[in-house]
Amino acid sequence: MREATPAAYAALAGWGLICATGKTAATLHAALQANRSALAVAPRFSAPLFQTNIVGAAPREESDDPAWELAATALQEAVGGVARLLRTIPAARLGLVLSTTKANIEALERISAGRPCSASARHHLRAEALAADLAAEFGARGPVQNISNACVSGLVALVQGAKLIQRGTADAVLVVGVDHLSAFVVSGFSTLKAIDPRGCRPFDRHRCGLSPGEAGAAIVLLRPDLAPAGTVRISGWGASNDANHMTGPARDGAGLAQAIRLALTRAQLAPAQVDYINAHGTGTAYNDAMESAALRSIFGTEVPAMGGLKGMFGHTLGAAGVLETIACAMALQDQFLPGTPRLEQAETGFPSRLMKQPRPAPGLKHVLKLNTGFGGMNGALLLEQTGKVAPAASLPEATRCGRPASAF
Amino acid sequence: MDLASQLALLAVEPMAAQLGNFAADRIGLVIGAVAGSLSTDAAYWSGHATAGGLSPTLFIYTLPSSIIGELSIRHKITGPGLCSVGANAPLLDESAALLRSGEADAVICANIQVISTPLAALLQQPEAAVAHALLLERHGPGLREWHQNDRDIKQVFATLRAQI
Repeated sequence: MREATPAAYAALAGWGLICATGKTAATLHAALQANRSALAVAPRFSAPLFQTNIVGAAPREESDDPAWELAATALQEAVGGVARLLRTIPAARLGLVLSTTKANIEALERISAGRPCSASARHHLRAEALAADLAAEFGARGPVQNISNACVSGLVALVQGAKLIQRGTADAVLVVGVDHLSAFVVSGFSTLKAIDPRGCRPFDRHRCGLSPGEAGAAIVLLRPDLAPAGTVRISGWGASNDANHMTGPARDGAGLAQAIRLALTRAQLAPAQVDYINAHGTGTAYNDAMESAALRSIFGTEVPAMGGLKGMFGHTLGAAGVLETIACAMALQDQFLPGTPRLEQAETGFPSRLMKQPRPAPGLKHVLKLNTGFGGMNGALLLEQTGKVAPAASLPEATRCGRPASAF
Repeated sequence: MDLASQLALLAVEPMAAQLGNFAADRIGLVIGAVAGSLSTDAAYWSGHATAGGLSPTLFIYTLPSSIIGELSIRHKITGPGLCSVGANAPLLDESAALLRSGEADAVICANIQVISTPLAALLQQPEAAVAHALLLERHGPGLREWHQNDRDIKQVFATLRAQI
């Protein structure tokens, strides 16, 4: 491998979000600590067009440009939290990478129905226009990219941001993921019968589909030498394609395993050094089984503590990778393992260290974040807590990271 | 399969023999969807008001990255993929970066633009159906141009040239 050492990758200097848990990162943190699901009934998604009206809706006003509202809200919090640091970076050295699958698809619904739709809302139907306008609004005059890699978009956007820093093209990059709930998307998953009418139950024995969600989620990536000590960093990544099926994952998980292997190699880590895995965990029968198979092929019977968060805020598509990475960064920062909201009975044969409830995890250092997407795309991202962490070996067995006191 | 994926497959097909020179996991895909998937989006959404209803098959192609899925399945490519929307996506830069960093030994770099008649009417833009693809090799002689199946090579190639 011809790449720089992990020390050269990007640091996660700050973040902001809006999702079903609320309008700030603090709401996500509280929901993670409480293992609270924020999935709820949204009457506008009633039958017959939709399979369910249980979704992960963010607290936002009705708008003709929800993509902008969500992304800008998240960026405002993220940028505001590190404003002093960002002031030291020239605007031309600040980049922006947008992750979205449908941008402002609300505009298409409105135009088709002859409903009012502003010029900017119409403009933001195009991801590149949304990215350019967000960059202008938040003073990013460096490189601007948009990524549309299905449900892996968020992880790919974070990797692109890290690469811009690694190549010396930018000192800081605003990575923002956004997708909003729409009749378009919820009806689409309904036509595929991919939604769990009761709300998703990732890794559960009775899981039968996903829950649509929406979010804006933003992370400020920073050149590592500019970041304060102890900042969570990206230490590795991997990407692959199944080359198997447009909507179904390869049953053996070989594609995802390939992405995990690449991430471990890049981070110069052995599988046994991974403390926690935050899975894609959509709650569909095939995805969760495929992820379990992929993890077994890498970790054997010693799969680390793992879980998934879509039972908390739903599947936020293009925002998922960024939003779930923020949750992982919070876990690393505050040394805890998130639970798996809405998981009741774990599927037989799935990894035994599936976390049902959150718990403290002193010593948590390496977290593996996974996402997969339509078309067979896979992504793996490794995060590292670079600050002082309690050495795992000196901790009591019951609290040692990766060895749960009880299975759930 | 939607028109964007069909055009991409046609543009890349002449490369099939050369792709065999590389391991499946060492080939990358860098895709620019100039108009995203908006034409397919419009076709899918028009179904909600018709007797036939919404098509699950079309919904799959309302992701611009479905082009990556189709290309990877057709040519058994398991390397990394990157899909961006818009006319100015840095496709060649990102392709070259994949090669330089050692993440891939070859990269298919393709630009696709589809603006269907209904979308053109909806957005008041001219119609378009264009695909152009290049194969870049890590240790190759340079850019190879493949245009046997291009529908309108000039426009897209000019876009790519402007970024070299």
